[in-house]
Amino acid sequence: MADGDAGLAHDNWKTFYTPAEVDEIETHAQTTMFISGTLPIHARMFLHGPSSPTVVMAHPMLPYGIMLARLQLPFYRAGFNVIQWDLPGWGQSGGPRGAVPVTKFILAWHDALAFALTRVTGPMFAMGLAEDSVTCYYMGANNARLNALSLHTLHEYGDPDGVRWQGSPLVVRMKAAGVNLGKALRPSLAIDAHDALPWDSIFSHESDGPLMERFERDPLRVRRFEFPLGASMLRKVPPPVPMEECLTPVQVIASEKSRLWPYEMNVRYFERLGGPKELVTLYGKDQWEYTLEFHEEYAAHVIRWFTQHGAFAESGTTASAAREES
Amino acid sequence: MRDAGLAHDYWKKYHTAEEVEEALAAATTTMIPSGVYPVHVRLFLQPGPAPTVMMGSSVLSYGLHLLRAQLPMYRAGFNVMQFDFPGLGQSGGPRGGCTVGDFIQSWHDAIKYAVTRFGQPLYIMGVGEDGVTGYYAAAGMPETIRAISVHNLFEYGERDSLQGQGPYWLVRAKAVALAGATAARPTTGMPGPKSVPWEWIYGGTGDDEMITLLENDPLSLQTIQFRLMNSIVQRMPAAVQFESCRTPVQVIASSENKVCPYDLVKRNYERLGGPKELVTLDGKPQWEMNREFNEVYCAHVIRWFKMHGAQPHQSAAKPTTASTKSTR
Repeated sequence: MADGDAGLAHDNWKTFYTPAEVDEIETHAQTTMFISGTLPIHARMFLHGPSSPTVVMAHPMLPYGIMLARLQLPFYRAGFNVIQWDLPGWGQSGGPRGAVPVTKFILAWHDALAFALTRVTGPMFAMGLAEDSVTCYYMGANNARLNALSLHTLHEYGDPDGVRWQGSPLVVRMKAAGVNLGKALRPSLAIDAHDALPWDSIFSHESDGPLMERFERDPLRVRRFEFPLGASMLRKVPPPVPMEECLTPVQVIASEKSRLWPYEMNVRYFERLGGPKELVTLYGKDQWEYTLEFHEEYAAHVIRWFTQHGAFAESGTTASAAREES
Repeated sequence: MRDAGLAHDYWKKYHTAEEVEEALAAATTTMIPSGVYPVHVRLFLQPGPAPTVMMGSSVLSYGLHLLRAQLPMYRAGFNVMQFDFPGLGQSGGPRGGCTVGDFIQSWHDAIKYAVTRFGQPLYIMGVGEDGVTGYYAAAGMPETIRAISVHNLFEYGERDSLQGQGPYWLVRAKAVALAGATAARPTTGMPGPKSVPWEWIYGGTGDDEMITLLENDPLSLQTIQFRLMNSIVQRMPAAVQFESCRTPVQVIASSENKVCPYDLVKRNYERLGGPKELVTLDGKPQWEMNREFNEVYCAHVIRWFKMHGAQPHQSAAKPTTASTKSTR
């Protein structure tokens, strides 16, 4: 049980919100940890009851869980349980900071779902935004316990477009070779988080500057991307379920002007999806914005999709039944 | 939601059903940042004004494994604030890869949080690394820290502070080699159970079963990295020399301690310049996991803290005798 402080006794996260939002978070958030491998994983929950629909989410690679309450609260307000967990090595979770490979993110996704199933019994959904989105697909495609997925980024690991901001395919392949060599020689080698990706693609609204400065000052923000993580993002790892064979309903919400993951890449993978699917285009948008409006609009798309796939259907609706119905 | 801050049942195997229930009923949790690491904090809070005792964690284990050293303090009317060191237990950071310097920093950050959260007086209680690093962090703060109780007392790098590693010249030679290895590959590690014989730490009757349990705990010291080992073997004098310490310090020394020999602890106790007390646990190893040992140990600490101004919360009338029924 959280000590009335939403599970983090530090004030920086509160500067991301209005006093009313802080109050809502502190009033409703419960926290715990589950274990993934040998790592303690921090989970924050907004719960209505065990039979309510539940959305499980992690977070992208800059802001961590407690900074994304504006994405979490709309679900809670709409009647969903929200179970949000921090990626290993990120935010409030254990593990070497910015150094845990994406294979362990996938394992953590499985463990997060298993944990969620010990707490809730209603329809279950998963959503992701960045690496948490790709790994969400790797975990969730054809997972019988999930009614539907909503993803902001979709690709296969090893596709140079998956790290397009690092340069052309040739440059990416050269960097991959260098990172693998560096990792073998000295695994703690790293690049500064500012050099790893363009932050202003995530804090991209004209009013996001002050929030980015607050994030900069956050003690738990990512400082470095270590080579074991970087290498894992560049390595070819096909998903367990090829896109064409995925029968789980998948919504892809693609930012048209994303400088991180090209819109065309997301559309290409979306078109390969074999099951029920929906593409939502965020016209004129870079990867992410930190405004209240952006979060609420984004969440509204996801809530609509999850509602379409059995979120508030009669109690006992299974994932497969909801799929057939839809 | 009552899960004492960890949604996993493994930790419950260390305790009786009533101890588990007591922890589930009373524990709240939060996290504090320390450096770049999130540090897990577990609190047992009294319903009214009470002195606060702060504890870290063992290097081998973590807070939920060590409830038997926390609950007697809570039952006696203290607020208990326990935190896991970075890289250990439920805290963030590379597993078994944070350094003694990180541990000391986490003590500073924990004290800062405790002052804000509880005010004063604060008391420090430490058993292994948490005791030594607790002294390093808190000995120079007599206005904030009313008294300290430690089980081990030495300065990092001191002769005899690393048992089982051979004669002192060999220990120093290993320290040089480890410094080189750490510079080259700081994150390389070895299995935690090979770092020191765990039976030297937990030497009570029946503790061998508990050691097996702990070795298989996903949150125990599964790996220890070069950089942590290196920080333990290098010389690092205490910020406040023992002779200059004015904070009251109780030293509870086990006469048969193989990890931190009695003579070493007594030698450093004698150096302490302020109010002090030496309690000798005759015939005892470093630690025992059974409830009786923990309660006897805590009774000494409670008495010491009361001698130094602690006025425990009075309505705390909870069971203080050991139960023999185990959930294992």
